[in-house]
Amino acid sequence: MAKRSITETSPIEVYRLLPRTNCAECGEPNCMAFATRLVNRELALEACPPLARAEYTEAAEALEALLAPPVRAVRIGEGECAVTVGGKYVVQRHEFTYHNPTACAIAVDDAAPPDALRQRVRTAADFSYNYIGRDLRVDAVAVRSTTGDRDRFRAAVETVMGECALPLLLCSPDPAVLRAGLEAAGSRRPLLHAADRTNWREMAALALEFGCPLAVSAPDDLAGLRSLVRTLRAWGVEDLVLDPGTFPGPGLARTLRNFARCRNAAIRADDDLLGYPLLGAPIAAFAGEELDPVRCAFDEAVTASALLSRYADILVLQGIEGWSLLPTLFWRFNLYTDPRKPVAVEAGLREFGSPDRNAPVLITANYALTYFTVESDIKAANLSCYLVVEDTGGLSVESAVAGRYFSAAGIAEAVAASGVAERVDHRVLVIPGLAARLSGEAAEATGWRVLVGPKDSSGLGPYLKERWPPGPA
Amino acid sequence: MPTPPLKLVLHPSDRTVRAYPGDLLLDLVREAGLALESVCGGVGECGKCRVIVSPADAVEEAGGPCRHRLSAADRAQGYLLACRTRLVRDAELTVPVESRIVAPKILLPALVEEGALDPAVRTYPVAVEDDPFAIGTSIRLTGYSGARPRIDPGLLSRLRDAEDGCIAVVHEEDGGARILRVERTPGPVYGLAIDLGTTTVAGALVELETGRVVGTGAVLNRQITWGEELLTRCAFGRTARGLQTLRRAAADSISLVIRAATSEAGVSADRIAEVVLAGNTVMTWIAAGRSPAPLELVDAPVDRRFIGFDAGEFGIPLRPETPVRCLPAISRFVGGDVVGDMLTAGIGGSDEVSLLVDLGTNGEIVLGCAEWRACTSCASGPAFEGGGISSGMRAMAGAIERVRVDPETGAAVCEMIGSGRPRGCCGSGLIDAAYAMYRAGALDFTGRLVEGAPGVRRGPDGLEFLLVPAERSATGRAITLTEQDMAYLMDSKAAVLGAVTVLLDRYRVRPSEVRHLYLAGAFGAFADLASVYGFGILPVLPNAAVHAIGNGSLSGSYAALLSRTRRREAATLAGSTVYIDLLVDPAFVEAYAAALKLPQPSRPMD
Amino acid sequence: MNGRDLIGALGPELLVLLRSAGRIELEGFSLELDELELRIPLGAFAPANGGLPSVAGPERPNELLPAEFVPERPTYPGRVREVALGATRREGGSRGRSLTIGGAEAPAFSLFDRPVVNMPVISMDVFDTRVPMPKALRAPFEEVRDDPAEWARLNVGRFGAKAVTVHLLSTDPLIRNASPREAAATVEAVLQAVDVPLIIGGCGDPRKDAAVFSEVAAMAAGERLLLNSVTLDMATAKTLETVAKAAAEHGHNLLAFTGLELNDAKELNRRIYEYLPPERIVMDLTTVALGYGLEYSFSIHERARYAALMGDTELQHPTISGSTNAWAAREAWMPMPPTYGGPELRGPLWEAETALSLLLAGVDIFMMSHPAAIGALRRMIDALCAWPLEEVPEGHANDWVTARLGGEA
Repeated sequence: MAKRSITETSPIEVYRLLPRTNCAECGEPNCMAFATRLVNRELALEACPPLARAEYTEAAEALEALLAPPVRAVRIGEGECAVTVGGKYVVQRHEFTYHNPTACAIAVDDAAPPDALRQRVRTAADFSYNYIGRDLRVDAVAVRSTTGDRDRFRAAVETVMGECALPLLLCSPDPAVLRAGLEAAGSRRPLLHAADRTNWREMAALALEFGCPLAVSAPDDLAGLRSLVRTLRAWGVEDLVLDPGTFPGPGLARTLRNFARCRNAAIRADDDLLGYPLLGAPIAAFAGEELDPVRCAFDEAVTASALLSRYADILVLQGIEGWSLLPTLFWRFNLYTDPRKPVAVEAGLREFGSPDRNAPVLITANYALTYFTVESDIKAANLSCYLVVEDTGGLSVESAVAGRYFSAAGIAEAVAASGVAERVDHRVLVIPGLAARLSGEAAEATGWRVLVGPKDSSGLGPYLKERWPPGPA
Repeated sequence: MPTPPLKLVLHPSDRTVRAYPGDLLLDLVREAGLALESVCGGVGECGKCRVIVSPADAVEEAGGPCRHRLSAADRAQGYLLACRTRLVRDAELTVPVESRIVAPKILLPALVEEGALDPAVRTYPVAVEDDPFAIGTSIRLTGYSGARPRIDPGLLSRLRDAEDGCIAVVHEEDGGARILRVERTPGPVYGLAIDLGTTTVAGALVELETGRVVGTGAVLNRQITWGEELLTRCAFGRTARGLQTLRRAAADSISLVIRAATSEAGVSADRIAEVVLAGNTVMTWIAAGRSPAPLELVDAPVDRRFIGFDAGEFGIPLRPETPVRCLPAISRFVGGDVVGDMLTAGIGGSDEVSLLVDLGTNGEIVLGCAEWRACTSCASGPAFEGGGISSGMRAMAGAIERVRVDPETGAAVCEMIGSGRPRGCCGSGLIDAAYAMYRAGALDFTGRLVEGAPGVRRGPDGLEFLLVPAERSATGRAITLTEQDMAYLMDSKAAVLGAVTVLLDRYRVRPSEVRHLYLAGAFGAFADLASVYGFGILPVLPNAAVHAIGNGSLSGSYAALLSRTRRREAATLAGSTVYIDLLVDPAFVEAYAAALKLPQPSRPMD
Repeated sequence: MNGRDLIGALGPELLVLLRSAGRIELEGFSLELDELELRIPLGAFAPANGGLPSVAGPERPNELLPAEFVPERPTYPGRVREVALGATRREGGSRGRSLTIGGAEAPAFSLFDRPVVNMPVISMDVFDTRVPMPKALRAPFEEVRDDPAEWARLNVGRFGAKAVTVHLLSTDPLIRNASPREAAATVEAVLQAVDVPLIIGGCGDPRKDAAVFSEVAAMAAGERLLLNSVTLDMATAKTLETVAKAAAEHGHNLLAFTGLELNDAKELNRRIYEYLPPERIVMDLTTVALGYGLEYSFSIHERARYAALMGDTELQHPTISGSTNAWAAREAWMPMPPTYGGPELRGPLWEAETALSLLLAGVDIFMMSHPAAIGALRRMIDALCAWPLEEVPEGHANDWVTARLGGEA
């Protein structure tokens, strides 16, 4: 049965397959509500315990098929140390939203001496950057066989496993080498890279024996990819990942074309042979003639960004320096925010430190990043103050100003609604420097004296130290 | 210009040079083209330029004493230091073996054809580009298409700052590539081929781009201080300290070779970019810093791959990152030196069955062709180098090297190296003597002295054969071959013949099917083939072309230095050659027993 | 009497009895054996499945099952208009060359099924007054910061800029409130200094910009400048008409700037159509820095482009991105721990990635600053616009799997 586009599936169709007992075990008041949430992919079928009963098996299967994403969701790893990739419903994020953020795997190789290997794994696994209150991290480790030696590979895999609990990719064209790696890591359900036209039988056997997902490789050859997928499925391998080949430099056009073709075929043309997650390898930037590691890392980051924008579900990366990882992790996070819901915090009044009746009153937008940045700067400077958070529809100050969401009227409303007037004796409001042009109008609208703060909240500490309390107007 | 009045006859080349009174012997020898070791360059420091001159009064001492003076015993034996001695009258001069630089220059270049040069080290111009349209600096190697090379972090900053014209020295192996260093001045890079022998360490300095040998050196292996025998050194190397001492000694010996070769070539050791080393398994392991103790056991597992380490770790005076690669071994007794011999002989490239024999301290034998090969090692002992025999000595002045025996009188006519009175017998002389004695009837078919045969007499320890009577020998003692000497010679020769027989039988190869016989080392260079066959050291190979391959280990490492293909060939040879362990082979006992006989003299010789 | 005797007694009679019986049933019978030997002849039992080996699992093909791939080549009812920037002498201006942007007939850099109509263009920034700028951004331009004409010359001469954006920020009432005449003089100086098309940026004040643009438009008549920008604010302030008419009269293009809202973009365009032919309008849908809402810019551009291709004429205009905005992100310029490198690495990468995402979303012209970011985008544009597509060398796609990658682990 062809998978219906997510925007075409009606909640009624879904409702008809549900138990329709309105038992509310899923947390929704009734089955119709649950059906609506299901269609929006806000809830999963697992949320309905009755469906697990034998009498509903057929219905459950039908529901799964109806709701299944055209791009299969593939889990790599086991239990808590797992990451799911794929599971996409649309080609472009604005058509719905993307699910399962692209997994970023850092590559290590088995030629490295054990200490260097451990160090690299630790650096990758420990990397974290706080962004909008979330931790940006790396998701997996790809162990590459460069020696071709089974024992070295097994030892490397063991070293990696001893150093971190991240899900793994095992990379080698030689099934015997991968088997050696699986002897160490088989229980962790690693992704095997990769089956191609010469080794697919052995790779399929490995995937079935160890119950692992399998990557399929056919560089710049989508017919070959489809052929391999068809054959592997006939063998019973279900969890597949497609690698159409990442070509660095001028070859990127082909790469993007293949990715777009695969994704479009899966979602718009019902081609279930291409309905699998896509693997991109920006690491290819390191396999060319350029020897300078900084140049290579820059190119890798740029390639990663392009592949993220173009449907990659897993990336294999070499650079572990923060400067090249950061933009990749940022863009990954950004692409996978639900476009239907801006990332916003609740509007209202926040208190920091122990503000007294003469404490400064600041105002900002409710875009999450703006809010968290301002919050962290206030805390870093140990300020005691009030912060009014205006509902700017989740846009940052600059965007909100440009888009007229952060306006004089809006400021006045927010200040009034916050009740901050009851907490302080003064009537001085500090607005963000980026909203400078609004100061006059804002003063009029609020009836308060308006001071223009620094353009970047990192300057709040020095600014307030110098200018607060303000002198006579 | 009048002809110089004095004549100096040089041995072993038999050359005559003309000289003026007062000419320094070292200069004369060098001018004549004889390779005479002089590590210090003739300034009286190293004591290596030993020569033997006769008559003793034809020369006088010159200059100050050498730091390494000759001992009284040496002087009694007639040794002089060529850099401290001037010629005053006509004389004969012998360059003894230990002062000779052993590597025969002629053999080396023939092993790698022009156009087939493919050394592991090459240089590439560094193209560095700072571009406002990109961050960082682009670093590329012009013309390089191999595997992405490893670059150490310190080297990376050197590369980024490289000016125009800098070159990168890149080492490429099957396991990966590496930029060794960046040179500001372009110029040739060199490689060093080393034969790390148990007794002698020899080396050749090679210009990698052309394959030309530009310098050589040969020294005594300093490890001898801790044992002449390999197994003694093995035992000494059981402790970490012992191993370190032995490794240090090997490094020191190689350092001297480097010094000699580089000063001969006028090249700085800094420009040496790779060392390929061939040695027997024990020597190689010690050089690599691995304890040879496990090799004392019979079933010692031996990794049949190249062993690699860096010059810095080894302690030789080259740039520390310079790679050292050791030819792979086959078993505990058949090492990289024999693999080197195999490369030199070209066994792996021919379809015709060949036999390779290297009788040094031990005997190694290889039988085979391109398709298959088997090898073994036999404890032939040092008899064929003159060791263990009462009148045995190394091949140098005073050593008998040819013997004929008059069958009627039993009188021995001996030719010796150098002039004057003989002092003993070297290996080839012993073989010659034994065969001659046998033909003259002084030995029976079991190799025992025949009482009453002409020339055989009773001595203090039993029967003995007189080669040189006391009044005509240099030592004042008669030079004889005793019963014990003969027993030892028979034992040695039976070991070799037995080993060869086992190999031939095992692989069903008839002697007539062997097309080539390769003889390595001094044995190959000097022994008389008729005596070798006649005494029954080797079975007669009627259809075999005989090739003396000289220092096959050194040639083999030279070939591997210049060609990665030959290097791979060495790895293949090592990996795929079967090792037959005679110690546990029942066929050997039989073959050995059967070989304790001398062949019928009437059998046809080649 | 024992059993034997009993049988003996019964014997002959028993036999007679037995002979006549058809069947004998023994009750309470038991048999004790010391040893029992059974001989089963071969072939006594036929195998249950007829002697064939049982098939263990589903049918597994031994060879690869064949498959094809037929690429789609979708067509779209609409296409994006082309806009010409800069006018040559023949066209009434003084530019060396005129640039054409837009013209897309399919989503950008997606299926690569046809050559790109017009390659995307990068315009380099010039500021007419010192604005606060991170050091890493202004480093290449330190010496020319006070002379817009020199700055423009540097951009074109050293960095090969194909267009230059002159940001007249000095006219901002909150900065220097420079007069329209001063602004026009600056633009004139730049027009004389370089011969590439120019984009003229205002300060964002709806009234001041109108005055400045009018003066500049008149002074530079015929040059086909791109006036950056007109907004719905101007419509409210009733100054839109002035600017649009000035553009129409003096042969310039307008940049219509809205804040991440397609309906606003369509509305603004509709207003401008009253005065200016649509072929003279470029859209700025707002570019927000990576990490600060770039995904909004990305999606809105994808949506706008798709709508245009599907026939929404009000969106069939080429788009612009102010990618220099990427430097507003603190991650681009603030000092960070060593693993994050310095701003000279992060800044250009931030600007490049901001621009690149929008390139893939179909943006036709970019306003950018840092040469390293510009270089990265240029290389990307060259790679993606090559037609036919560059062949890839066989057998090297998966080098990354087994290659030694150099110094690191």
